[in-house]
Amino acid sequence: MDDRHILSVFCMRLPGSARAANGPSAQETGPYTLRLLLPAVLYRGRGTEERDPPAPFFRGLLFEAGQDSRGGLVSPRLLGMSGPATRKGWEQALGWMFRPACNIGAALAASRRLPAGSELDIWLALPYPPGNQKQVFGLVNGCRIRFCSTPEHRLTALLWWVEEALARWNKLAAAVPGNRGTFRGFVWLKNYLDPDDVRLVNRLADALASRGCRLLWCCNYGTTYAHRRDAVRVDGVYTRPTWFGFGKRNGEWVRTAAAFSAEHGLGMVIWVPDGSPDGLKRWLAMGKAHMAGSPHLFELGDWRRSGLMDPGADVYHELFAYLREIGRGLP
Amino acid sequence: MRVLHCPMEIASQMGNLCAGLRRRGVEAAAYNTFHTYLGYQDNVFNMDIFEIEWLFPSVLRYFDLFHFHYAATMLPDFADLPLLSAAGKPMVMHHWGNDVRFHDVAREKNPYVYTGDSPPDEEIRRRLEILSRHIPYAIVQDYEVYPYVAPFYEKVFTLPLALDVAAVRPRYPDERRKVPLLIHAPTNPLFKGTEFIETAIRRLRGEGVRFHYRRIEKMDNREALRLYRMADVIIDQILCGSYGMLAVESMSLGKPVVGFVREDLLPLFPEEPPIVNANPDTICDVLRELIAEPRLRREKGLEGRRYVEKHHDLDTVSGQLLDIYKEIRGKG
Repeated sequence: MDDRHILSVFCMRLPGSARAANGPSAQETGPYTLRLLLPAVLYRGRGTEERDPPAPFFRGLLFEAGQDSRGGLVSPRLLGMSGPATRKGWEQALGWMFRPACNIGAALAASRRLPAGSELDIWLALPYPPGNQKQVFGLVNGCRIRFCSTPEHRLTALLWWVEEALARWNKLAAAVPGNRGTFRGFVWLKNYLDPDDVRLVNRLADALASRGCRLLWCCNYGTTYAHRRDAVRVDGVYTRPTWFGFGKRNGEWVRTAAAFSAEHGLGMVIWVPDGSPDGLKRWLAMGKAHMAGSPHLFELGDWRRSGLMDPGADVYHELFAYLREIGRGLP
Repeated sequence: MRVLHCPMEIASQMGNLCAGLRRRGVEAAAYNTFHTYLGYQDNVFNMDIFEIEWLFPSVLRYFDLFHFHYAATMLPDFADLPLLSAAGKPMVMHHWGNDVRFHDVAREKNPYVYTGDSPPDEEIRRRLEILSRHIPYAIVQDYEVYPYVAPFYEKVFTLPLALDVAAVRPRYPDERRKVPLLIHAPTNPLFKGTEFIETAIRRLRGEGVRFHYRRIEKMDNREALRLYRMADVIIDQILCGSYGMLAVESMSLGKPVVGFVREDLLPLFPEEPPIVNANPDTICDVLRELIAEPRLRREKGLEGRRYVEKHHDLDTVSGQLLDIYKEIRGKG
C-alpha cells in the first residue's frame, strides 16, 4: 500500500451540520478555496522566508460530499440522517466537488506550487446506494433506478457516477495547466459490508481497475473483512479505531488497532470528528508510539472551522512534524 | 421529532415501528447490528457496532430521542448513556424477554419456561442497574416481560408488537381440507419447545391421524411468510407463556395459532388473545382436536385476524408509541 498520507475534505454538509439538514435553507459548508487548501498541500515552517521553497504536506486529498442541498444521502456517514439518494443529489455532489477554482479545482491550483517531482493525489469518496431504498433514484442510461427492487441498479448508479466524475476530472485538470494533481481513484466509506455490499464492491473494484482507478476502503477496527482486502478486492484498507478516549475505546484500543494494521499491512485512519486540537494531539502521541510506518488517512471533521490546518496554530506544525517523523518508516 | 432506534432488530420491530412513526410525520431511522438468516431489511440500516460508534458523534447531535432495544445501546459498556443524558436527549429502553428474563423469577410462574438464552441473573441485574441509572423509561410487549424490569425503571410502558396488518392479505383455512398442513417455525427450538411439539406429532402419526407437518428453519422472513400462507395451523412456542411475532404474523394471515399463554396473564392483555392454548402436557390433545375440526380452525383464524387488526396494527401501535414519546419528552 503506497498511498501515504491523505487528508479528508468535506465539500458539503458535514455530519455536524446535519441538524440543519432537510430544509432548503440548510447551510452549506462553503467551498474550499485555494487559500484554505494551500496549507494542506504545502508546508511553510514558522520563521521561514517567503523565498524559501515550501515542503509538500499531504500527499493526497480525499473529497467527500455528505448530503445534497435537499438533505438527500450521498455519504454513508449520514445513513439514517438523510433523505433518499437521488441522481440529482449525486450530480449536485459532483458539481460541488468539481466547481471551478474551488474544492478539487483549488487543490489542482495549489498543486502547481509543489516542488518538482512532487504530486498531489486526488481521491473521491464514493456515494452510498442503500440496498433497502424503495424510492426511485432516477434515470440512468434510460433506466429507472430503484435499489431495493433491482440490486444490480446499485452498481449501475455507482458506475454512472464514476464515469461522470472521471469526465469532470479530465475537463477540470485540463483547465488548470501545470498542475501536479493525479486522480488516483475512489474510497468506499461504508464500514460494514453485508453480503450484497461485498458483491457490489467486488464488481466495482473490477470496473474501476479496468478504468485505471484504485479503490480504497475505510473500515473500522473490528469490522469483518478488515484484514481480507483480497475478499473485498480493494487496493488498500485504512483501519479506523473508534477512539473516544474512555471505557473500552481508550488508548489500548488504538494500540491494538495499530498492531492489527501493521500485521496486515493496512493504513490507519486518524479520526477526530470534532476537530479538536487536543484530540488531534492525543492521536499524534498515540501515533508516534504505535503507528510509525503506516500510511494515514486523516478525518479531521470541519478543519476549516476548527483551525487544525491553520498555519497560525501550533497543532498544524505538530502535524507536519509528525508526518515527517513517521514518514521515515514508510517504504 | 427525530428518533433513532438501535442497535438490534428483534422480530422486525425496529423497522415496523419506524415505518409506523414515519406515517405519523416522525423522522425515524433504525440501525441494526443483529444479522440473521431472517434477512430483515425494510426501514433498517444494517451495520456493525463499530459503524454505530463511527456515526455516534453525528447521531448524538442529530436525533432528538433514542429508542434502544434488547438491553443494548451504542457504545461498549453503555458509555454513550452519560453523553446522551448530558445532551438532554430523552431515551427509552425496549426489553424483549430473553434480555431480562431472570431465570428464577421466570420459573416461579411457569414450570415450562426455557431461559437458556438469557444471560445469568447477576448479569441481567448489572445491566438493568446501569441502564436505569440513565434511562428512566422502559417498554415491554406484554405483562410476561413486565415484572422482570418493573423494579428498575421509573415507568414501564406496554406496547404490543407491531405489524402492518393492513398490508397482509388473510388466507383463512379451508374448511373442506381433510388433511391439514401444520407448520412450526422455530427460530430457537429449545425456546419454542420443538422437542415436545414433534413428540406430539410423532404420537399423532402413530395413532393414524392424517395431517401434513412442516418444520421451517433458517429461512428468509419473506419466504417463510409465503409458506405460512399455505398452512392450516401454525404452531408457535409452547413454553414461554406468552406469544410473539410468529403468532402475530400468523393471526394476520388468518391462521389458527397454537401457543402457550399463561393463565394468569390472559386477563392482562387488552383483550384475551385467541391463541389456542397448549403446553407440553396438552399439545397432543390440542393438535388432535384442531386436525379433526376444520370449522374450529377457520373460527380461530377469523378471531386471530380480528384480534391483530385491533391490537397489533402498525397504525394503532405507532400511535401508542408516539404517546409514550410525548410523555417521555414532556417529563424531560
